[in-house]
Amino acid sequence: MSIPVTFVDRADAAIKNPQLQRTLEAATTKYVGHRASAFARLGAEGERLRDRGKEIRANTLAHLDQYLETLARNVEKNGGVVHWAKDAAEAREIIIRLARERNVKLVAKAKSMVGEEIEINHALEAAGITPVETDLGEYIVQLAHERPSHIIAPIFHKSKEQVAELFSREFGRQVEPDIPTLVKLARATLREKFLQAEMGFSGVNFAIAETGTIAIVTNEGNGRMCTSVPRIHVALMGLEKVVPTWDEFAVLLGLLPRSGTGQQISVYTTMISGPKRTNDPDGPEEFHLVILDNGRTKLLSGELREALQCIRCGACLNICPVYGQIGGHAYGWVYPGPIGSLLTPSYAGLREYADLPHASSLCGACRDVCPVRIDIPRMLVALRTQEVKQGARPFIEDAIFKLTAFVLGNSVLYSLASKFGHFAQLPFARRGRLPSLPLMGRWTQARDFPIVQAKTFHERWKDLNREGHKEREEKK
Amino acid sequence: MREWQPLAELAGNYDALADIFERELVAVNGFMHRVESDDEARARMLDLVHDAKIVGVSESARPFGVEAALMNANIALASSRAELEKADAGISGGLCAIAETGTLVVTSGFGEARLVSLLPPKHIALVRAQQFVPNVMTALRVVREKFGDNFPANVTFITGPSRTADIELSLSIGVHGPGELHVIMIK
Repeated sequence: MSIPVTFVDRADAAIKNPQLQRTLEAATTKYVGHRASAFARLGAEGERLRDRGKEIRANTLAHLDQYLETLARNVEKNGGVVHWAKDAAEAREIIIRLARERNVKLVAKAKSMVGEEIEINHALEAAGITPVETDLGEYIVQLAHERPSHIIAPIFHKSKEQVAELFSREFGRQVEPDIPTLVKLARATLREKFLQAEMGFSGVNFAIAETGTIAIVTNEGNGRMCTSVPRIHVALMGLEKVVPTWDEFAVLLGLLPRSGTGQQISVYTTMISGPKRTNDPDGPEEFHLVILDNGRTKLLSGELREALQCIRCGACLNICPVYGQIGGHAYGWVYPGPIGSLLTPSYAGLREYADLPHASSLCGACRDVCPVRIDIPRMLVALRTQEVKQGARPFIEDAIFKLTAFVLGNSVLYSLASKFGHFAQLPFARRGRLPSLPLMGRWTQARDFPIVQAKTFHERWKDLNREGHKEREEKK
Repeated sequence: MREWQPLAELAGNYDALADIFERELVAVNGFMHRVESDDEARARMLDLVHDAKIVGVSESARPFGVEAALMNANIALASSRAELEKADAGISGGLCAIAETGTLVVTSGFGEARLVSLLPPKHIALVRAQQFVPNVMTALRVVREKFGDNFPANVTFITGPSRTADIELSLSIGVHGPGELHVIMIK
């Protein structure tokens, strides 16, 4: 099944997919409920925690260069190596070089969105190195040659039958669509990979500058495996993921799992400060931290700076009525949902993803649930404005808005237009509504316009005033 | 609010902290065993590994005298990575235990092997009541105090057995990390 090229077509395909619709409904409802329970348990303290979270993230961004310097210094003090990558290509080059120099044949990967962003798997494969995703959902996504459809739950969109089918193909035998069987099979297969891989690759949930520590939040244990078993550990992070101190990390750690899955804390929170020390019986001999820009410093200096506060919890996806209808793949890139509608155009091109800032009714539900109170709707509007300024909107849309602005800005034209409109609409009016208009077919597909009335408000006011005067005169 | 400090008022009240810890651990499918002495702890541990052939024991479990008990019960101790990969259980201590979340804190350093609490399918941790702390922030301070400037290469918070809900949001316990977690607390 090929993936449609335009956002509208992808969204359309998603809406018409009954299995996806069922899954989205069940999954988003469940996560929304869990998140709500977790925060209800905290009460007012939860709101204060979110305020503090926002403060911490905003402050970090305001002094980002300073904290990144401290982080790098401390990582190196621990015996780790820091690499700075200005874009995806540079990051890929650094990682491939490390792997080649150390004769790496197999890379065990823990879940990393930023890894998807730089498309590291393709690059590794092209270099003759095999990457294996070890997060169960990501492993399945890899087998299916797809992208994950959600930040936290990569296979939101798959049924157990589909997973069983994938496994049957992969292992060359019939695998039952029974969830415990599927998990057990994945565990056994991936365990072999952990034990064989020369390099472990991970993302970073938070990088604590104070001690040069990276924190990884998981439930399955693959995060621990990838970062403790292979002899080289490479961690890739977006430069906005730094946190100044442990105390501040504790606040963000209190927010991330609760927002994402409703858990108070994930099963494993692994805090890594460099490679193993001399007397450690196990642990990686080398630790490399790749710090990626790829468009982030550009955001830092603009109106979308707040988008960098994101801690990747997925709460905005779960609550969004648009995401809930179309799922992650429709967004066309690594980051879906409301935050994706900001990041994708920013990192991967505003013209290429011009539809995403418009994939919103600006309802604000995302802002309501964001653990660090990011005002996503404000920035969606800012992107829409940027699109208009850059001439990235379709010609017809641009023309209609310009014409409308011109007419509305001139009182004579406006009156004329109202009169004209009242007559011109007659062929299109149905029972007091305009269900479809020429040149605006797509817009009116799901919207009805009210008809233009015979008299304007000013005219009616004049009439009513006249009648009122007459009545008062007659009463005298 | 400058700091996130739930249950701070219970610091030092080990019984209360243990109660809360137990509630949280059980809620995430872990098992809690409360015993009165090191002897009882060893006996309970042997119960939990009675059908094991090989068991991994890490440095932090040594003070509890588990190695001798295991050898007396004819259970082999893993002495290499290859053996640990085949071990039926891993036995460790812990740095501290966080009541708020039901979390066990393990660290590398001082000869501690990380893989003992990760590779085998069952993990048994022995802790003393005095190791219980109220919340994450306090636990992080305990880590700083113990290690000072020589921060350990690895600090891991363990909250229950490994799990996933990736397939159809259906919960499965026991994925890559241990599928069973037992915390034996000695009063």
